[in-house]
Amino acid sequence: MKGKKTDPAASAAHNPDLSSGLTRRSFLKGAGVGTAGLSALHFSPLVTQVEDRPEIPPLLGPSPVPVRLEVNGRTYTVNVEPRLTLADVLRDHLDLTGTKVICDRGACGGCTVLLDNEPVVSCMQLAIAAQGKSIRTVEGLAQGAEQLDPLQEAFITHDALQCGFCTPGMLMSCRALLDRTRQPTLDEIKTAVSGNLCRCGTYPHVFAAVLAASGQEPNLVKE
Amino acid sequence: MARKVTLRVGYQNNLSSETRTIPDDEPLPWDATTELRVVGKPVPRVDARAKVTGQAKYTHDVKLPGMLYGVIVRSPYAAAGIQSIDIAAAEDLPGVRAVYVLDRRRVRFQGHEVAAIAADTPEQAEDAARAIEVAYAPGPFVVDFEMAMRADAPVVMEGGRAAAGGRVRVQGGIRLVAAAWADDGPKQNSNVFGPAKRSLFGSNRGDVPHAVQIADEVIEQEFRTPVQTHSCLETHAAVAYWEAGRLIVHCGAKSVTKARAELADYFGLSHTQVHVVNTFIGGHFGTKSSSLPYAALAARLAKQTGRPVKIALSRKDEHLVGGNRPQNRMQVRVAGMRDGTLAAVELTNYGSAGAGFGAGASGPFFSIYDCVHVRAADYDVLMNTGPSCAFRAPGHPQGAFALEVAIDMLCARLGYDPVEFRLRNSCERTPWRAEELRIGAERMGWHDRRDPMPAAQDGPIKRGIGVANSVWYSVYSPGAQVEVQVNKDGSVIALTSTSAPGAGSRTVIAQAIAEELGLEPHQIDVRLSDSDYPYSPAPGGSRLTSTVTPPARQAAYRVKQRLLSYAARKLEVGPDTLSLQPGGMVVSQSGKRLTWAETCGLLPGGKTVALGERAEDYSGPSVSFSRISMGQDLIAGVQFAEVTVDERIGQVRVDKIVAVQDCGRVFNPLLAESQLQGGIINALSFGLFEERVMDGLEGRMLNPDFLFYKIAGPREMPQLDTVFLNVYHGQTNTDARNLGEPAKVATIAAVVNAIYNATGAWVTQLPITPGRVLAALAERDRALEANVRASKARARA
Repeated sequence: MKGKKTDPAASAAHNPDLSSGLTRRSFLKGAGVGTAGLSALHFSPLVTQVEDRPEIPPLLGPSPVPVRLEVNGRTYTVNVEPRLTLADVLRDHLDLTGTKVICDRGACGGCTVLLDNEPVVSCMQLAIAAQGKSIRTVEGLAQGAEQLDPLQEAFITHDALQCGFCTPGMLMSCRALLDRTRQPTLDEIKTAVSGNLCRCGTYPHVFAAVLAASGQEPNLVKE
Repeated sequence: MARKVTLRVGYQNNLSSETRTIPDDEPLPWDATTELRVVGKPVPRVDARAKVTGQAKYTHDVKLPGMLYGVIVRSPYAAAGIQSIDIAAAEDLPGVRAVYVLDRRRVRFQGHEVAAIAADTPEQAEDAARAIEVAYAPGPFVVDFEMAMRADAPVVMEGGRAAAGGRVRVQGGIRLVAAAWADDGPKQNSNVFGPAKRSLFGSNRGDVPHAVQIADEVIEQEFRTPVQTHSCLETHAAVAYWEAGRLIVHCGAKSVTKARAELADYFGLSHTQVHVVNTFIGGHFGTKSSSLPYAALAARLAKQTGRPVKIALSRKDEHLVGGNRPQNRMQVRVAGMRDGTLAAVELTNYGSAGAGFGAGASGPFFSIYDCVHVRAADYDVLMNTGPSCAFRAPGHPQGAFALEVAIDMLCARLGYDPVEFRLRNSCERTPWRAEELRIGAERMGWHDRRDPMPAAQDGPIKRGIGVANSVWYSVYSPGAQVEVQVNKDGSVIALTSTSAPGAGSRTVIAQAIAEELGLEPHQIDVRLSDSDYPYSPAPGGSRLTSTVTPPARQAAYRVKQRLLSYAARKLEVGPDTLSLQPGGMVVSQSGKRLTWAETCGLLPGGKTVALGERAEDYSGPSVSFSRISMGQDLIAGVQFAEVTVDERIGQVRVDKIVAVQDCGRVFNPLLAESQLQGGIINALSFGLFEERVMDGLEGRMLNPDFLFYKIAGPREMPQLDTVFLNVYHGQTNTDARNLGEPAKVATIAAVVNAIYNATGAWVTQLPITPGRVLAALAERDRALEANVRASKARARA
C-alpha cells in the first residue's frame, strides 16, 4: 500500500495489519527504554522505515571501510573511504581505468557502467551503494583477450571513435540498449546515447556502429 | 643530386602534367594516376582495439607505485593582489605530503594558479587545497568585452605585451600568440592593442575605399561571436617523477618535444635530463600545446616529496584555464557590382583572448575570395579571463561566419544567387571549389528544392537552404622526421615524436609505410609521443598528415632499398631487377623470390633502421615561419545547410549538412569522414549552443561544467552528407594535405544563410539562441513595415 511509505504516521493508525506486524508503537516498545531506541526516535524522523529495513546501517566514515564489489564477474574487496564514488574506486583502487571520469557531475556519460544491467553514471554513485550488485565495465565487454563483443567490432569497423575518451561510456550505453532492444531504431539509438557527450563529434559513426551491430543497414544514418 | 619527374596533378577530369625536381633518394612521388593498395582505402584505425577495450592508457589513467595526487589552488578572483598565503592548516591535514606556493603577487583571472599541494589520495588533496588560506586583496577587473574597451576600464596588464611575455613561464600559449606582434611597443595603459601588424594568413591588397565608393551595393554589418572553451574530454594532466636527477613526465601535452623544452627551461636542465611521454590524448582541438604550468607544478611537488605526483585538472578548471576560442565583434563591409563581381571586402575586428593575445579573425577575408580589394584589421582586447589559445581553425569559424553571411546579404541586395556568386568570385585561386559547389548544390537540391525567395512558405514552420565557403592552408613542418626499423623477424616499428589525440596519426603513418613495404597497416607498430624519438610536430594547424606521411614513406623506401640489396646478393641478381610485392614478397625479373621473413632474415644484425625527413614542398613554400611552412595551394571546401525554423518560439533545427571538402590526397576515407563530421559537429555546437557566461559583478564564469555549458549531443545531430574531392598538387611523395580545421570553417555561416532563406531574417550574433532568432524576426518585421510605409508614401507622392 502506498500510504505506508509516504505517510508513516497515518499508516500506523489506519492499517493495523502491517505486513511485518511492526508499528511505530510496537517498535518503540520492543526497543525498550534503552538509549539506542531513544536516540533512534530522536534523530530519525522516518523511524517507521525500519519496517522495510530491519537493521539501521552503521554510520560510515570518514576512515576507510571494506567495500566488496563484483565487477565483470570477479569479486574485489578494497578498503576505501565511504565517500568515494564507484568511478573513483574502479579507477583508483581496482585499476580498471577504462571507465573515464570526464565531468564528475553526471552530465556527460563518460563514466557509464552497467549496474545489474542498467546503465548508470558511476561518478554519481557511491561505491558502497554498489555492493551486492553486478557491475560491468568496458573491460568486461570482450570475452577474454581475443573475442571482442560484436559492438566493439562494429565500433572499430565504422570508426565510431576518435580520441577514444568517450568511447567506454558510449559502448556501455549502447550495450545496455542492445541488451533490451534487439534491433533499435535510429531514434532509439540517439536516445540511448543522449547522455553521452563526444567532443570529437563521432556521434554519426556511433549510430552507424550500433545499427551494424544489430544487423541493420549502417547507412540508415545518412538518410 | 636531383632528378626531374613528371607528375599528373589536378582533380577529377582536370588533370595536367607538371615537372618537379626531387632528390635522388626520394621515392617516385604518388600522383593522380598511381594505383595504391592501402593508402586512400578505408583502413580501420590501428589503435582502435585499445580504445574499445578500455586498454588505451591516457595520462589520466597513469598510476605509478607510491604516486601522490596533486591539486592546484586557484584564484577565485578575476583580479587581486596576494597579501599572504597560510599553508599551516593544510599541512597538518591527513595525507598531505607537500605544498608549493607560486612566486606570484597578482592574479589576473579566475583560475590563475596560486599554490599546489600533493597528498596520498585525490580526496585528501582536495581537502587540503580548501584549507590553504590565501589573503587576497581584490582589485578592479573587467570581464565584459564592451567595458574592457572603454577608456576608464581597469587595465588588465600594465606594460601590455611585455607583461604578457613575462608570463610565458606560468601560462603557456601566450608567447606563441604574442609573437605576432611586431614590437614591444610603449607602455600600454588601455586594454586595446592593435591593429596587428601582420597576419599569418594574408595581407591587405588593392584600394578598398575607392572600390567601395564606386560599387553598386555596399553592405555594412556587425557580427558577434562568443567564447567557446575547448572542453577536451580528457582535461590537462601530468604525472611527474624524478629518477637519478632526471625528470620523467607523462604529460597530455600534444608536443612532447615542446613540453621537454619548456620543462628543461623551467628547471634549468639539459634536454637530456627531461623525458616526456604519453600514449593517448583525450582530444586537443588546439589546446594542450603547453605543459605549463600544470606539469611543472607536478614536477615541483615530485621533487619535494621524492615520489611521483599526478595532477589532472577538474572540469571546472579546464573551462577556466584549459583554453578557449576568443570572442569577437566584427565590423564587416562588402561591396559588389550589379554584374555579380565582388568589389571589396573589409573587416575591423575587435576580439578578446582574455588575459592573452591572438583574437584575429581576418584569415577568411584574405583567403576565400579572389577579390582584388581587401583590407582587414585585427585588434586585441584584454580582459580578466582565462587566456585563449589556438582552437580548431583559429579565427576562421568566426571570420567565415561574418564574411559569408555578409556575402549572402550582398547577394540578396544584388538579387544574385549565392552559389552563382561564389562560382564567380571564389574559384580562381582554388578552381576545384567550382566542382565542390556543383557537387554540393546537386546533393542538397539547391536548384530544385530551394526557393530563391526568402520566407516563401506559409505558416510558422519554415525551411530553408544556405551555402558557405571554407578555406584553409597547406600547412606543414619541414624537418620532421620518422624512423622506420625493420627487425630480423620481419616486424616493423616506426618512431616519431608527434602525438595521437584522435585524428589518426598512427594509422596514416602505418598506411604510408605499409604501402611502400607491401605490408598491411596493422603490421606496422607505430610508436609516438616520446621526446627521445625523432622530432615531428604536434598535430595542429592541420599539418600532421602532410608533415609525417612523406618522411614515413621515405624512411620505408630507404629501408626497402637496403633489404633489396641483401636479397639481390642472396638471389645473385642485380638489385634493380627486384621488386617488393604485396605481402612483402621479393620477386626478381627472372622469377626468383624470397618471402618477407626470408628477406628480413638476411639482415646481418638484429635490425636495419632508416630515417626520413620532411623537406619543403617540391615547389617551395609560399610563406615560411620558424617551424611551419605553408604550401603554394589553399584548401577550399564548401558546405550547405538545411534548417527548419519555428518562428513562434525562435527554435532552429539543423536538418542536414552537405559538406564537400578537399584535403589533397584523401589518405583514409573512413577516418577522413570522422574528421569532417567532427568539424561540422563542433561548428554546430559553437554556433548553436556554446557560450562562456561571465558574471560581471564577481568576475567569475557562471557555467564551468557540462550542465550549463551546453555542447552538442547525439539528439542534435543533423543528417550529414560528406563528400571528398581528391585534389593532387604534386608537392610531396604522398601528396597528402590536411583536414581537421577546414572542416569547421563554413558550417555556421551556411546555417545562418539557411535561416535567412527560411525566414528572411538575418542572425548576426552567435550562438543562435531562440531569443536571438526572435529578435532577428522582429527586426525583419520592422524592416518590412518600414518598406511598406515607404512604398505607400511613394505611391501617395
